[in-house]
Amino acid sequence: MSAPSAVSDHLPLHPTEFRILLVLLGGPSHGYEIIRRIEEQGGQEGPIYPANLYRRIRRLLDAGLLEEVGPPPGEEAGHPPRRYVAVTGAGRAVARSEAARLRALLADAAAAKLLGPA
Amino acid sequence: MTPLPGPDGGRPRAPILYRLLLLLLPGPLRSEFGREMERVFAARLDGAEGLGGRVMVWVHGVEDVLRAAVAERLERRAGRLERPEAAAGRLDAAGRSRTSRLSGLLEDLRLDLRFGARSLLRTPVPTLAAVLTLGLGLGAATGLFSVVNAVLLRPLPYAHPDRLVTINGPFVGAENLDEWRREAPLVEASAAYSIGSATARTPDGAVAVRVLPAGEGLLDLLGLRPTAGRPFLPSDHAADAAPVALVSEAFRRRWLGDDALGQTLRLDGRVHEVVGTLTEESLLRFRGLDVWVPLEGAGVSGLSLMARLAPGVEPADALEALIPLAERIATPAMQERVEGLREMGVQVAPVRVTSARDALLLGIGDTLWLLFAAGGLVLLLAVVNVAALLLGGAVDRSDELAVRMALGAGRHRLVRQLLAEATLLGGLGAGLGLTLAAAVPWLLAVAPDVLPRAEGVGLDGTTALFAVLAAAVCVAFLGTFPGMMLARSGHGLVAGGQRTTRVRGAGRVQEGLAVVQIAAALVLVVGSALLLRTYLVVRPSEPGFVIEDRTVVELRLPEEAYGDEAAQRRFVERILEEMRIVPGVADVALATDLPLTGESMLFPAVAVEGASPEGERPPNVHTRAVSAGYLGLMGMELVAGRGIEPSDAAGAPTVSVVNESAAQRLFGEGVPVLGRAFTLEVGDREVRSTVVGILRDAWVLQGPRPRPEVFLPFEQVPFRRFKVVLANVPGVEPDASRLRSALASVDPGVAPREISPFSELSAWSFALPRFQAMLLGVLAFLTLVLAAAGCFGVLSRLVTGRTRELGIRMALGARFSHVLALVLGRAAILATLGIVIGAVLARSGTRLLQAHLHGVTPGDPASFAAAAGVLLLTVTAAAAHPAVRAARTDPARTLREE
Repeated sequence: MSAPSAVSDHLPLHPTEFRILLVLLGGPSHGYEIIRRIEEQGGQEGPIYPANLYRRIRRLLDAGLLEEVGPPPGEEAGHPPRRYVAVTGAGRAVARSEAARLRALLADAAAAKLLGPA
Repeated sequence: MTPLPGPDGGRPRAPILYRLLLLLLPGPLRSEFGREMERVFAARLDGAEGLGGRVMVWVHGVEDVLRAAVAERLERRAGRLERPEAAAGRLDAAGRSRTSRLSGLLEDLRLDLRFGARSLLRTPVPTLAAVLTLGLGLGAATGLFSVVNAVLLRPLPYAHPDRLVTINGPFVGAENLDEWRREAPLVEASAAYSIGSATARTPDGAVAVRVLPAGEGLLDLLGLRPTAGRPFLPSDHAADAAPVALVSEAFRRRWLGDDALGQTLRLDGRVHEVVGTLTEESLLRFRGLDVWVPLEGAGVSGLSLMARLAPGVEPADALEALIPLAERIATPAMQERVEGLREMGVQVAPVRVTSARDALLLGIGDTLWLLFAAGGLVLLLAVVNVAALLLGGAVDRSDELAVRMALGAGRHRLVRQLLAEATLLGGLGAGLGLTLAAAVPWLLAVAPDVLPRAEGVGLDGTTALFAVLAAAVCVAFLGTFPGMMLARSGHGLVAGGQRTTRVRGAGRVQEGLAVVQIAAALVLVVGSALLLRTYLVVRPSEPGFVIEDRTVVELRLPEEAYGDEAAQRRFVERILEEMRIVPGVADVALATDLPLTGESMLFPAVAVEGASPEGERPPNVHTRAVSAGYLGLMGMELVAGRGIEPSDAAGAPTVSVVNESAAQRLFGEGVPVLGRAFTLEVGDREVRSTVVGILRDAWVLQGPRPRPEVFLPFEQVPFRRFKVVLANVPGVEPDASRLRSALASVDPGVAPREISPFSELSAWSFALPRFQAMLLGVLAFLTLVLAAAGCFGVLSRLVTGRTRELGIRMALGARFSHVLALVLGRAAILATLGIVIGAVLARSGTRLLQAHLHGVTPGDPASFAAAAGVLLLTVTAAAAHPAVRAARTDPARTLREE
C-alpha cells in the first residue's frame, strides 16, 4: 500500500482502470465479473484479456484506490477462492475527478466542433 | 466477440501452455491472480467459435500476457533503483554477497533468463514466430514419439517380453519339435504355435475363424491367464485328449454369448469344448485370432517356436548357437527341401530368430519409424528456421553487442545470454509442442483399427521426457550457433563505425540454411506425393470392382427353418425378386462376403487335378459363393471364359470362377486353367468344381500381392449367411424401411443384421494408406510452410542488406524488372540447389517407402516433378514480397540517407 496521495497524482486514469472503478462503484466484485460487466457496458474495442486487467487491479490496489474485501454472504463457495475488491473513498474521489476531467475535455472537443449533437 | 458466460466460467483451469505463459508475469502478480486469469482465459476459449475463433483467442491471450509482462516489469523498474549489472550484462562480483558458488550461479541464471526474456519481448513478432515454429517442430516430433512409444517401445504385454523371440524356418517343424524344445541352447523355455484357419459351426451357422494352434506351455511362456475359465492343461495336449478351445472375448461376445464356458464349438467338423476366454489386448498380432486350440490335435503344418532366451542373450547370438542344432536335427525331408530350393537359386535360411516385438508388430513398425523420422525432419527444419531467425536477430543487434563487448562484456557472457534466450524459446516451444502432441490421440481416432495398441497413445512420463530432451538439444544448438557466428566475427563489428557493417558470413550461412530447408521439404513432399498417389491410384479409380452406389444388406438365416439347402435356395430366389422391385434399386445380386470388408472365408484346396506346383501344399483360397450376376454387378473384369450364370444351378455340374492369383497358385504359372478342376474343403463338405472363367485380380491392400480368390455359384454351394448387394439407381439411396418390408414379406423371421452403403463398409481397407498419406501430408505441409518462412526471411534480409546497392543501381538506370530479376534470381538459385539436393536425398529416402506403395514406384518422375513444382511455387511466393520491395526502392531516398 502506498501512502495516501493527492487525487491529481492519479490523473489521467488509464481507460481500463477507469472502467474498473466504474464497475465497482456498483458494489464489490471479482475480476471475472468485472470483465463481464465491462463487456456488457460495451464501448471497448475488443474482448478484454485477463493479464492486463488483473495488472490494473493490482495497480489500483497498490495505489489505495481499491481494497480487498471478503466475498459477499452466500458466495463463499468459489474454488479456487476469488479475490473480491471494492472501491475505497480515495478511489471514489479519483473516479469523480477523472469523470470531471473527461467532461471538460469533451466540452473542449464539442467547442472545436468535433462532436455532433449527442 | 462472444461475451463471457456468467456468472462463472466452466473450467477453472486453462491449457498448460497458457499456464506456462503466465510464468512470464512477475511472481507476485501471478500468485495473486494467476488462477483467476486462467479462469477468464478458459472461459474465452470455451466461448470461441470454431478453430479460427480459438486461434484468435490464443493470439490475443498471448499478446495480452506478453504486454502485461513487459509493462509490469518496466513499471516496477521505474519505481525502483536500476540494477546496473543486469542492464550492462556484466556482473560485478564485488558488489554482491555470494553465499555460495551455487547460489551465485543460480542468480546469474536468473538474471540471464530475465534479461533474455526482456530482449525477446523487445521483438515480440520474431519471438512469437520462433516459439510457434519450435512448437510445431517439437509437437510433430513429440506427437509421433508418443505413438512410437505406445505401440513399439512399451514392453509387450507378456512375461519377460524383451527376451521373447520367434524361431522358425524350414528346419523347424512338427517332426523335430521335441528336439527343438529339449536341446535348443541359450533358450530358457519354448513352445510351438501356428496360425491357421478353420470353419466353425456356431449356433448361428458356419463362420470362418482364425485359429491359433498353441503348443504345450505357450500360455505359461507368454504369461497369459484366461479371463474366465481355465488355461490349457498338460492333459489337453495329450494325443488322445478331448478337444478343447479358448476363445477371444470378441469371439465370445459375437458368437457364444455370456455362458460360453462349457459350450461346444465345431471347428472343421471336430467338436471342441470351450474352456476359457482370452483378452483382446494380450493377443497383439494374434488379435483377431478367434480361437486357440491345443496344437497337438490340430494337425497343422508349418509351425514356429515362441522362445524365451536366457538373460542377456541377443537374438543374433541365439541364432548362431541354434544353427548347428538345426543342421543336426533337421529331418531328411527338410534338408531335401532346402537343398532343392538352393539348387533353384533361392536363398533360404534354415532357421530364423526374430525378436517377438518385430515378429508381432511386423508391418506397422516400419511405418511408424518412417513417420517418426519425418517428424524428426520437421523438427530439424523448425530448428534451422529458428536458428536463421536468431542469427538474423543477432546480426541486427550486432552493434549493441559490439558496444557491450567494447565495454568489457566477455564473449562467453554474450554467448551465455544468447543461450538464455534460446532456453526461453525452447521452454515455450516445448510447452506448445506438448500441447500439440496431446492432440495426437484425437488424430488417431480418424483412422481407427490401423494401429495395434493405439489405445495406449498419449502423453506420459516418457513422452514428456522425450519432449524435454528434444527441446534441450534444440536449445543447445540454437543457443550456441548464432553465438558462435557472432563471436567469430565479433572484433570486426565496430570497425569504422559504419551502419552497414555485417557479420561476416552470416548471409551465406542463412542462405545455406534456406537450401537445407528446401531440400528437406522436398524429401517430405515427394514422400507424401507418393503415398497420396498410392491412395488415389487404388482408392477411387480402379480397385477392380465398383464401390460407389452399392448398398449391402447382411442376412443370416436361422438354422431351424433353413436347415436344408433347398429352403436356403428358395429364400434367396424370393428375396432377390422382392428387393429388385424396391424403388431406387437398379439391380440385385448376392455373395457370402464382399471384398475390402475384412471378412472372407478361407478354405483349403485339398486336391488339384493335373500337375500342381512342385513340393507345395495346395493353398488356402478366399472363397465366395455368389449369385449369377454378382460379378457383373460389382463390375469385375473377366480375363477369360465366362462368369457365373443362371444355368449354374443346383444339379448342374459345379463350376467356379477364379482370379488370376488363384489360377496361378492352384495350377502353376502360365498353365491353361479353363476346364480344369479342383476340390475345396468348404467346412464339412468337399466341393469339386471346374474352372469356367478367370477374373482380373482385384486390388486388396491387406497383403503385398493380390489374394487368391475363388467364386462358386451360390445356387450350387449355398450358405445361411450372406449379403444381398444392391446396385442403386445412381444418386438414389434405397429406403432402408422399404428393404426391411421387402425382407419381411419373404420371411418376417429373418432380420437384416446391417444395411449400409458398400463405400462405408469398405472404407476401413483404405484406412492405412489414408492414415499414412494424411500424416505424411500434414508433415510435408509443415515443412513447406517452414521452408517458405525460411526463404522469406533470407530474401527479405538480402533486400534489406542491399538497399544501398539497389538504390545506386537504380540511380544508375537499372529498371524495375532488373531489380526484380536480381532477387528472384537469388531465390531461383536457392530453390534449384535445394531441389537438386533434396531430389538426391529423396531418391534414396523413398526406397524406404517401397513396401507401402501400390501402383507407383519410389522414383516416380511425376511425383518428383510435382514436388519440385510445389517447392518452386513456394519459394517464388516467399520471394515475391521481398522482390517487389527491392524493385520499389527509391534511389533518391536511399542516396540521401547515405
